[in-house]
Amino acid sequence: MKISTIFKNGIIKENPVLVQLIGMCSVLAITNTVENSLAMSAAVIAVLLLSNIVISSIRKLIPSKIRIPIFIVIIATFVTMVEMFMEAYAVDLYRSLGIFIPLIVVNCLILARAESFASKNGVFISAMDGLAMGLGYSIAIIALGTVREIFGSGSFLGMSLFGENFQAAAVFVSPAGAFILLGIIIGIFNVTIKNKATN
Amino acid sequence: MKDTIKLGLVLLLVTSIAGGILAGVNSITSPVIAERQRMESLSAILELFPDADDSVEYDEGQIAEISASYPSIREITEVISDGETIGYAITTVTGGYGGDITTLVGVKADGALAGIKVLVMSETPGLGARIVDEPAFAESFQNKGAGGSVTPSGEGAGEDEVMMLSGATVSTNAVVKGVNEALDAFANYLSN
Amino acid sequence: MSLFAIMVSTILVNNYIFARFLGICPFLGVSNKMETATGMGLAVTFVTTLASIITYIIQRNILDTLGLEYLQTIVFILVIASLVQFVELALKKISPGLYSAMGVFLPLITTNCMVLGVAILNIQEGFTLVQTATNAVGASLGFFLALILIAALREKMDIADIPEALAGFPITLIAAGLMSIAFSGFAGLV
Repeated sequence: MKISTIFKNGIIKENPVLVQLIGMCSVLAITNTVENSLAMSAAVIAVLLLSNIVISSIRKLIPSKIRIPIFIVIIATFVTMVEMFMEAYAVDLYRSLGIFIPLIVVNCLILARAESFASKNGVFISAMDGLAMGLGYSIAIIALGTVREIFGSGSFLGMSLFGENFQAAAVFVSPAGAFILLGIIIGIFNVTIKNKATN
Repeated sequence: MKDTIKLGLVLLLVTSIAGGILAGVNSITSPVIAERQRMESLSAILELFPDADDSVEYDEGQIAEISASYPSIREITEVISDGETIGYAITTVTGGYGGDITTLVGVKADGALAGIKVLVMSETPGLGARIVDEPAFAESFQNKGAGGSVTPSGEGAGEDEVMMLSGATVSTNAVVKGVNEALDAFANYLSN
Repeated sequence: MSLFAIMVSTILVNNYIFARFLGICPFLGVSNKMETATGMGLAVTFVTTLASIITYIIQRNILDTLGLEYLQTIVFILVIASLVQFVELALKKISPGLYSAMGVFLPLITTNCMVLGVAILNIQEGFTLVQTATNAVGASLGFFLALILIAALREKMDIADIPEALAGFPITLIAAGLMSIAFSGFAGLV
């Protein structure tokens, strides 16, 4: 498989958030600011990349009957490592992402890539797949985070954009705004990029 | 059956390797985390007791004894300056409007409040969140409570009165509840 | 917190779907029909409650006493995964009727982040065993309620005239958003 195909799949055709709709909990929960989105992207890319590399390199040693529990253990190990490093060196992000850091374990995206890609392919190509899927996920949540922060708090990365008099529409940072905006973004993605890519 | 045992062993092996790696990472990160947490709680205590130069934390057994009567109380730190106890920093957790409110209550050795600092809360921005955003709220507690308790009322100008945030009754009362439990605990357990 | 307050809080005020965003995957995946929604709701209630109690006991008696708190995530997810397997086998033997109602949903539950989320939150909130069980039941009932509400809506929307671009998931997400606004009216109840 060509690397460009892998990236095209991860970012557009099989975008985990906009097309496959997996890993939605963190997508909706932590996109209230751009900073949180960036932090979550970094955490997910790190876990996805590492778990894909490890799983693909030991794929021939894993008995197929217990592969899922083994995948889960490997993923949980990396998630816990990310969590520990964040708590030690980036405590503000650790606090604002809160419970959604350990919950990366059950982000279906990571297990799905382990099962459907890394367990069947070589190390390098699996690493590329992890990166591509991670990027697809990141692009979607950073877009969502940008819109929600600009309209909901009138700022971008914490910098105020519109001055004192701007009345922010708090609905965008509330859970309701997350659902509605994501619905609209997927709708727009459906009629524009995805249609073009498939035609 | 033999197969099951073999698979079980493989899984056990993988899990032990994972546990070993995590133990290694933990030994690197946990001292960093512990040090940061100590600095954080110390810096909050220093805000309330600027003269402090030493502190002694109560252990879990001592806390359990006190929190049996005062359920809001989670942590107690004795604050020391020049070898003398100048007061206690008491962490309380009470239920607010949008979740729990964690407040650090500084009680001076004479029984009055050194001050308070709301550490964690998730109250409504613009209403309940003013317990943090309006410095005058926390300031209104300073040096009150010598009579054993405080009551929220208006601007909090009177004796043992603290500021009542209009539109944020639940949040105000939650903080006051924690403060009064701390004052009571001081009077009954700590002052002698 | 009193048990009643925990119950009301988890079902209405801090509904795990509408306010805390846990369990969204099955919420979107199996909410197209009332019947499947009910099966999933039952299965989740069962597993969440059982998993919360077991993980609580393990955390308090093993992890805390041995100082192994950092293994929490890995241990909890293994407990949940094996529990799901076990429940599936047990149900097949003991109650084929119940198995046919919720059997197909059981494997999906391992990756339902609500189960792990509730288990971790129980520990973080410092709940007692009884509060843990109450919180788990409340969370599941809240999930159940959200799932049924949205499934009922989707059955109606199937026959409605919806812009092509929004058909399917987008309109479901928008409906869920409106529902979340309605649920935010419960804020401050507890």
